[in-house]
Amino acid sequence: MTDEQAMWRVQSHDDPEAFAEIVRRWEGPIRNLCQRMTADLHRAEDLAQETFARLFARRREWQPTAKLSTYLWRIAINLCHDENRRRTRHGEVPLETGEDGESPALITVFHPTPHDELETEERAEQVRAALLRVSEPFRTVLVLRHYEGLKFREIAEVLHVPEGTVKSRMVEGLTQLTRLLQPTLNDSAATVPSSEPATWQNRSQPKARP
Amino acid sequence: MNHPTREDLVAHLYGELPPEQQTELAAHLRECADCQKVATAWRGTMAELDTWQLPVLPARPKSTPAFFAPFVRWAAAACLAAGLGFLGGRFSAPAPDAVALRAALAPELSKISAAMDAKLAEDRRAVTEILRTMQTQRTEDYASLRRALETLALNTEDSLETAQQQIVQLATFTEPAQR
Repeated sequence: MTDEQAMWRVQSHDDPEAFAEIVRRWEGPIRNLCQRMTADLHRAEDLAQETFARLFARRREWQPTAKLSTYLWRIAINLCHDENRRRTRHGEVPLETGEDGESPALITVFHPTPHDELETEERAEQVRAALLRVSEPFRTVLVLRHYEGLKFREIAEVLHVPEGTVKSRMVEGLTQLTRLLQPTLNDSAATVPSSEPATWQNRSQPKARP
Repeated sequence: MNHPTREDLVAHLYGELPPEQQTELAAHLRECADCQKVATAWRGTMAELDTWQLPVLPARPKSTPAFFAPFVRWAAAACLAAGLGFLGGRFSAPAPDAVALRAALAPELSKISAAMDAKLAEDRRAVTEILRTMQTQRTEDYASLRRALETLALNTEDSLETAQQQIVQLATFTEPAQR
């Protein structure tokens, strides 16, 4: 049974077995996405549950011609955006990169350890903290493309934006992230050229959605 | 070749360009130090991203979907709440005024009752008429049958009498003397 067939059974018959199958298949990827987007395992668990609750509540709105995965990703992404906005309002997360493009200094919450075997964990923690500081529209594309393996075209469907916009956001996300991680990368490899090639000049930077 | 756009460059790094364009861009990167520098920086960032791996949680048994359990609990809670609400409303609601209700409904109920009685009487009359017709028909049939049997009996009696006379004649027959 495909995802779409299972979802059709949920939609038309309220089939609990089919819904359980969808949850079983997708709980891992959705939880991972939420964890990457919020950098908080416990919130990710809650958000993943909320994603499936919404999927069930909105089962009548799902179009059988659409891919279920696109619908699920979209619900999860919107929930993560709402959660991050809520936490930002309450001062629970550090501010993202400013609109002027200036990146605030990377603040890692990781406490360095002398043990060599923890070096990878240290770097992972720096990446986690850096990613959380990338503006949300760019972070969304980074996470969906790099970690979840969606193609740019698929991300465009999830976000309801043109594919070119997705690529522009990916460029901007990688640029922000490279700048944030610069101290940890090899200087020669990590430095983004200050003067870009001629064709790169005057390219409008993608704007983050409000 | 002109410098590729940054969008093409990022698509190249993620292997999403058509094969021909992919080859062309790779060739450009070998020759262009500026583009190579950006590509190298981004590759470094992509490698850094790979260091953040999430723990793989054990797959849950098929029969116990983790996220479905809350829905069952919610459904049970909703049923319980609805049940309690119904019982609460049932016992807390004021008792209806039966006398007033009966008085209000009495005229309508009388009409319905009268209509039903009339219909029943009509049906009863029709059934009685049918039974009476059947009884009359049966009586006529009986009389007709009786007449037929009496006729048959008379005819049979006459025939028997004739036969009896013939037998007697035959028995008393004396052959005349020969001359």
